[in-house]
Amino acid sequence: MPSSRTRPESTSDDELALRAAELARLLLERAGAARPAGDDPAALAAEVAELQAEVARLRELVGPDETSYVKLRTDLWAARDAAIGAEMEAGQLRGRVTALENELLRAQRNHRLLTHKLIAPARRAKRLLRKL
Amino acid sequence: MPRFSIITPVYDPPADVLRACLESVLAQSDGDWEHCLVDDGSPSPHVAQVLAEYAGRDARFRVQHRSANGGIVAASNDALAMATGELVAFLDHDDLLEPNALAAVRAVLDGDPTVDYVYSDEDNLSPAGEYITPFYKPDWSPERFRSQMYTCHLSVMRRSIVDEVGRFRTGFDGAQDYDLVLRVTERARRVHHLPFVLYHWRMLPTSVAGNAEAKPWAYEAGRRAVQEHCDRTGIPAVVEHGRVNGVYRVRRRVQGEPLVSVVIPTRGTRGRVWGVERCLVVDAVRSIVERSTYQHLEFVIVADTPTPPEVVGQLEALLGDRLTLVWYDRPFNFSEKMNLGAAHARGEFLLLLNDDIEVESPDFLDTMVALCQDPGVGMVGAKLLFADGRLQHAGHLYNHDPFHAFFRYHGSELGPSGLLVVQREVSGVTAACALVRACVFDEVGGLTPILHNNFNDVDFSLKIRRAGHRILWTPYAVLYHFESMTRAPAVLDEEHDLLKARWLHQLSNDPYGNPNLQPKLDSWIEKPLR
Repeated sequence: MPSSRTRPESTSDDELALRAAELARLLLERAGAARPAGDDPAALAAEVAELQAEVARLRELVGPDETSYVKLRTDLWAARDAAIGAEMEAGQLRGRVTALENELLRAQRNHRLLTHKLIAPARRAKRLLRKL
Repeated sequence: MPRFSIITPVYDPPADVLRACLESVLAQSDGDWEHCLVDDGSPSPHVAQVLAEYAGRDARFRVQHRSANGGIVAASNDALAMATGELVAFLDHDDLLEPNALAAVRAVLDGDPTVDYVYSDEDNLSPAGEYITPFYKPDWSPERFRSQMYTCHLSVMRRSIVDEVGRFRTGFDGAQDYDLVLRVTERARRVHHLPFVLYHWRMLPTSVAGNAEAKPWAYEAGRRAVQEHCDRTGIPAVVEHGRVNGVYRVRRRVQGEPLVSVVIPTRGTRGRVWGVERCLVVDAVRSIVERSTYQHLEFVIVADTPTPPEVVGQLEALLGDRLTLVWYDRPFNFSEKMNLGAAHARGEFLLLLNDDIEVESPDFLDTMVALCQDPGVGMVGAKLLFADGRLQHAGHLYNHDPFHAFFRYHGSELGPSGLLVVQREVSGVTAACALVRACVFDEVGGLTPILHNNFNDVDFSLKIRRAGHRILWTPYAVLYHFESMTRAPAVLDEEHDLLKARWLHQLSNDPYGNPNLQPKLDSWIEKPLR
């Protein structure tokens, strides 16, 4: 008695293929898939054309090959990262500009103070000395 | 109406200690306060005398006497009932305030009226009268707060919220302040940390500051307080006692069974670990497959093209249809390899993993996934050990340069104030083992390809935090990391420069460090001259 896993000897390969096709048709019908073409060559050709058109449409959406989606994702991430990086660098530069502006203000203030407290009295003294 | 009401329940302190406490209040540079003192039936007559003396000296000392001892909760609630100030500050009867404590808090609240709770750093006052063991705290770290009452003293909060949450609760004696702050922070709009020692906690043999075993019942009360907090806030967790007294483990439950994609870049390197030659990636994967209790996994292995075919064969045999193999034929770029793997992943969570890893705690993924399911959390890191058991990773510290906290310390080190045994917020974690939500990875653009080798995880972490997500580190997910057995660990100047061009401010201002710490160190050493 052969086990249920071994192929019965009386069944030919063609018969098996037919049974598989029938099973696939039943499964597709049960799953609510598109109407199978059956044995009609014209219907089959139409269905193949329809499916090819759908594949072409999807490919157009996704890109030329299946790896494009992955590529698009990594490119998108790189773009996002570059934007974040540029923003951060701009922020650092803005901070640096503010710091430099503050330094400039401080220097100007010091210069004014120096002029007021030292240079101006020195000039006045010089003028006085010259008069004498 | 004064701005501050200082709340002090009093029970039988020595006279000099009580005087010192009251003097520290009198010495406040901001005089807009009242001090609500409730004598909880102290048997020593000197307590009433000292209180009466100060009340006579200054009308801002308001004293009430309980006819019988009612415990700290009852006395504190009586003091709160006396309070008329907008803010309440808590001061124990034997502790001291810094003269500018209230002024510093006022400055914060005047600057930001949405702050509802302020806490400061603190230290201990030894019996010899020295200020010792300062506790330099992080900025608000809710996950750490669920693990330990770290905010402690000085705590100042709005009286309206204290009244709203029902003041102190009976049944939580010893941890009544923890319970109150948990309930207050659930409602607080903002919490602010003042990185100054504004409070000196006196060490007496009977106080927790002087003896951790002084009040054992307090720890159980603390555990119940955290459990109730989790129940109130919808955190699905069981709270257990942690490794040391006063530390709790919030053991969260995984919600559902989300798919985790384990992304491992490799070139199939072999190495000698614990005296035995091994293929690193195969053993890393095997340890997850055989040891991890969480098994809803897929593995995305990003293999350099020179990866030996027998390594691929072993991976296929181990993983079957859970394996997605992605070939990588460009010069080494860790970020690019991780991004490529992540682009092929289907999981809700990505476990970024180096190939030189071995699992130590079988529930590491359950712990990490459950934490990462918290809506505010973007990434979770693990505790990584070198082969010799020393610490490789316990979260990053950005202390003017990026560091691994307590790098190469003993694996069972507790850290200052239990830092290494609590789940906590960190500024970043290593990508050698990090669980990140796939949507967050997508949101921040993955790892930056311009940092091929080093610091890409620092940059990634800072991007995640910048996007508003928290990063957690857990000591309960332990793995070995035989670091850099596969490549030289050298750091290039360009990498430093690139990182600093992007994150200079963040690298010098880690909210989970403290400005009182010595810069450029990884081990929470205070600045010698402050």
